[in-house]
Amino acid sequence: MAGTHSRSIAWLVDPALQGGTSAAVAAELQALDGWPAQRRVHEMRTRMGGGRPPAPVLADALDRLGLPLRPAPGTVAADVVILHNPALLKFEAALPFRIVARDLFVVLHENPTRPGGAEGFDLDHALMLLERFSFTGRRWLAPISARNRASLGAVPPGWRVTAEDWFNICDFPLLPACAHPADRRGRHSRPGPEKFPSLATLDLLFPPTASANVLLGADPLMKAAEERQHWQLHPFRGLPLERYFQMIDFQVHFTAPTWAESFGRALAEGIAAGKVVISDPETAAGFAGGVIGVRPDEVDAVIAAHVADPARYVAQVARGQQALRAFSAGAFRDRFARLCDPRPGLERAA
Amino acid sequence: MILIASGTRDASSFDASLVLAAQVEALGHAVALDARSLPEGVGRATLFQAARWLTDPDDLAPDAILVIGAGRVEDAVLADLRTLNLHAGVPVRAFGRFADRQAQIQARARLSYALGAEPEVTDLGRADPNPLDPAADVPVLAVAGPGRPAVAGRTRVAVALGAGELSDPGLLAALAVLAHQPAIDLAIWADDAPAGALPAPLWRPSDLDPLTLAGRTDILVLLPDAEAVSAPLSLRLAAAAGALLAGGGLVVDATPDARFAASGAPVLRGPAEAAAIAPFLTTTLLPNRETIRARIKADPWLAAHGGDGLGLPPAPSRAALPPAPSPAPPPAQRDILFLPTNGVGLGHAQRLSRIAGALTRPDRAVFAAFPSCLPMIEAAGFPALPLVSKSPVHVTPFANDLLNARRLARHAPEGGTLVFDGGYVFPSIQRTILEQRMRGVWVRRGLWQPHHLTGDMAEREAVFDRILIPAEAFDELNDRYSFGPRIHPIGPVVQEGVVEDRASVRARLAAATGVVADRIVLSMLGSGVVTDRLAHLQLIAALIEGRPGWQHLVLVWPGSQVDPALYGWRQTQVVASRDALSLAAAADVVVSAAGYNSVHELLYHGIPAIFVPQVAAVMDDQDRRSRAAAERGLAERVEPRELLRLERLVLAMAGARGDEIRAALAAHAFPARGQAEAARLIAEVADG
Repeated sequence: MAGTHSRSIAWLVDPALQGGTSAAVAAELQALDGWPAQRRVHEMRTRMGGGRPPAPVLADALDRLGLPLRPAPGTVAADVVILHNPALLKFEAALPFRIVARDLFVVLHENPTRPGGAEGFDLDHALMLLERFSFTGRRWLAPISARNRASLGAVPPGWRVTAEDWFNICDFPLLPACAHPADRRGRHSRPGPEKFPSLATLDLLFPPTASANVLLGADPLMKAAEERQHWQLHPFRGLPLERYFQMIDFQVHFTAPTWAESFGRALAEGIAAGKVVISDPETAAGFAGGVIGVRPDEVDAVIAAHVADPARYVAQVARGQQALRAFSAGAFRDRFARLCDPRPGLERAA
Repeated sequence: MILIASGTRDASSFDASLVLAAQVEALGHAVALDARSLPEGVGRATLFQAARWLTDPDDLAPDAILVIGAGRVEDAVLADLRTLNLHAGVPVRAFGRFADRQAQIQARARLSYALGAEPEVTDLGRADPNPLDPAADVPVLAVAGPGRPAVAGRTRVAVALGAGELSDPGLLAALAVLAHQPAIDLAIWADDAPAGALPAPLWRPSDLDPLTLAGRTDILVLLPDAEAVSAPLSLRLAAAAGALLAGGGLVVDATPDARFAASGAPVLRGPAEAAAIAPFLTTTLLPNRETIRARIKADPWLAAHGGDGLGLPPAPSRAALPPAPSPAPPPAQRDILFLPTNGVGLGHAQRLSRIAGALTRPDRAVFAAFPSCLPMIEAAGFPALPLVSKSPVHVTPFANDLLNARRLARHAPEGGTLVFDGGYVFPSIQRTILEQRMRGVWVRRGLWQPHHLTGDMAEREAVFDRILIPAEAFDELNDRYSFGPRIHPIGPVVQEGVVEDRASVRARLAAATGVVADRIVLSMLGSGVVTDRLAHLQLIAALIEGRPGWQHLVLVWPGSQVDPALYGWRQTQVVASRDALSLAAAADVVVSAAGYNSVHELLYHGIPAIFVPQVAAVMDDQDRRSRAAAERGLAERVEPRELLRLERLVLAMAGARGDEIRAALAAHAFPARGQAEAARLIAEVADG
């Protein structure tokens, strides 16, 4: 195994980060359990994390794996150092440690640019910090999806981009599709304002004609009193995900038009739960046909077609779950081995 | 419509929105502020300024959006922006100060999520490193509003002061020197209430649109040091200075830290010593004024701060507007708006209708008046815009005046003249004159009670070009409350002659009441709003009842409430009429309150009267007025408590005493009436 050339791996983690990043790190540590290398996880508190308690998903994973969360020493040294989500450095003026590594991987998670080209966060600042505080053989930027890769734009000098995506592991249990779907719709995400399109678009996505419209993580709508009688609004974590998925047959996931999912973990969860997932075409493209990509005004027709044809519904769920296999823990291990191969030639062709 | 939104919901940010709104409007755009953005608990002045722009969310259809304070946008503001449902392509420009690039990126992203459109974000710290107001979280522009030209040969100088500076005797002395310079009209800009008399009109820059103030100024002298001005005031002074520079005025920075001059704006560095300002202006600045103006006009700073940086779409052209659909010829030019307050009676409205009637061209006059005055004004032949009266059911004590301000803004003749008669200058009157670029005339009768002299006369008078003081009939009553070239005493404003002669009135009374009387006692003791005179009326009624040939008439204004007890007498009748004078002339004895109009009309028309002064905090000094008449033997006067004396006097006045007073009145030389002079002085102002 190529990865055996890496005898030590260190993760730099702000455990306070909630949501996708912590879940991805937790899944990654779990997937690499037993990997033939010394593994250490260092705590890196940032202003973005705000000193909050560790995310439960990460704390549970560390407990389960017997990996202690160590304070970062003055020098973090390993063959491979992995830092997930450079956006967490956006408010830092300096790093309290130095990094010495053969390979430094910076896993992007957030899109550096938003649709239309506006910056998503100050990536240059984060990379500049890492350059100042690291001594490394190779510095890598690792996109997590094709869309995330496309949003990167020009590669900063001194950095390389991995040839393959450092995808989010989607090792969820796959549930069967229901045999008789109804027009029961839902969406879930963390409650950021970027996760919601305009009220007019929401009206198209969750109309009164649907038998159910369950909006989980709808805190911004609740705060702004953007409510409809035919909507069931629940705050973030206001429902167990399992219960939420029992209430819907179609997951309809659209965001603010000025923001885009970098991976779409919530969509993957919907597919795994046996639901037909509908999103915009660009977001859907990351799931190889497993997500139906349409415009908001086309959602009603898509749902009507699948309600009228349960076999089509089942086939679509199967297509989605097949696509998820590309994001399994096993697939990640294979990819990780290639990505950590110390031999040259793994970067993206310029 | 340009929507202006502030990132935070606090009074200071909202104030900055108002300043920018005035500037954007001056650039030719319609402006809107989301009504939800009004912070809780803002004061009256803020509401009056904001009312013209506050728009209900459902009516917001912006062509562009300007966001200020973009470095700290609150979630509640984003939530409101989310509801706008913008059309595609509506430009959004955001301005703020950002700690670093990430903060700017984040601000842009947050706005874009809420709006569904990408804003263009400007870091004010980079775009304008040395603004006129360094702390402003909003672009500090040099945009002139529509102004009012100075009178030929005069220069309007405003001196802006900070908190507490009006208490400096040295400064007051320097201002007095400046006020007495020939050809200079001085105004003082300060938010403080003056402790005493000021040598010049006072404007509160925090309460008034800075562009409007600048439009009435030729030279602005900035005195306050940085600690003496709040953040909102600092921005307003900067906006006023910018407006003045853009409009061809001059700005003198006499601040201790020279912070306005340090901005790079073409302002002149003036002396920091207040005493040196007058010689600086008269010997250095005014002789070189045109040269300085030419250099300012060519200064690139002006072009850089002229509003192009806002990135607004082109302002709609007035010429592009469709022509008015009505082919009807324009109505007669009614360019003089008479606005009487509604006091306890209708004295203010009566006085103004007499003055309006004395105009060479009465068809120039139009009225705005409270409902109680409207029939009288319309009966005098003038059109009138109804104003809204104060009511305890309104949400604020000044809600009616706020509505009146908006109503007047729509209907007052822009650039015309507003003639006000009353004691308290409502904010609606001040703002109408300022915002409609009108000339102002205040008809202000005297004889105030001591507690009315609160020392803020400089502020109340500031908005008026001319102040007409209708004289009292007796000279010792003509107190002077303020001085200066704007003050014009005029003769008493008193009706000329009676409308209907005595015989005709008595015949109509006999027909109407069924009582043929040879002795008529007329009571006109007021509406009872301020003082209850029911006991006096009942006493007179009882006195008359049973006396053969006597009749008691109680005069009320049409529409007044009348106590039912007055209807229980056979020889007392309640008469509703607007023609009090004809009735009084037809009576043998008149028992009257001692208001300005009643006293003067009775005296000038030789009608013997018993005055019962109304004594209340809101009234003029009726006691002095009635005493002056009685002391000259031209009337009788009774204290309100002297009921038995009143009874005796009524009987006496019906006999020899009445004849004596009638003779004395006929022999007395009263001052000439003043309405013609008032009308002439008003027309002079109106004609510029």
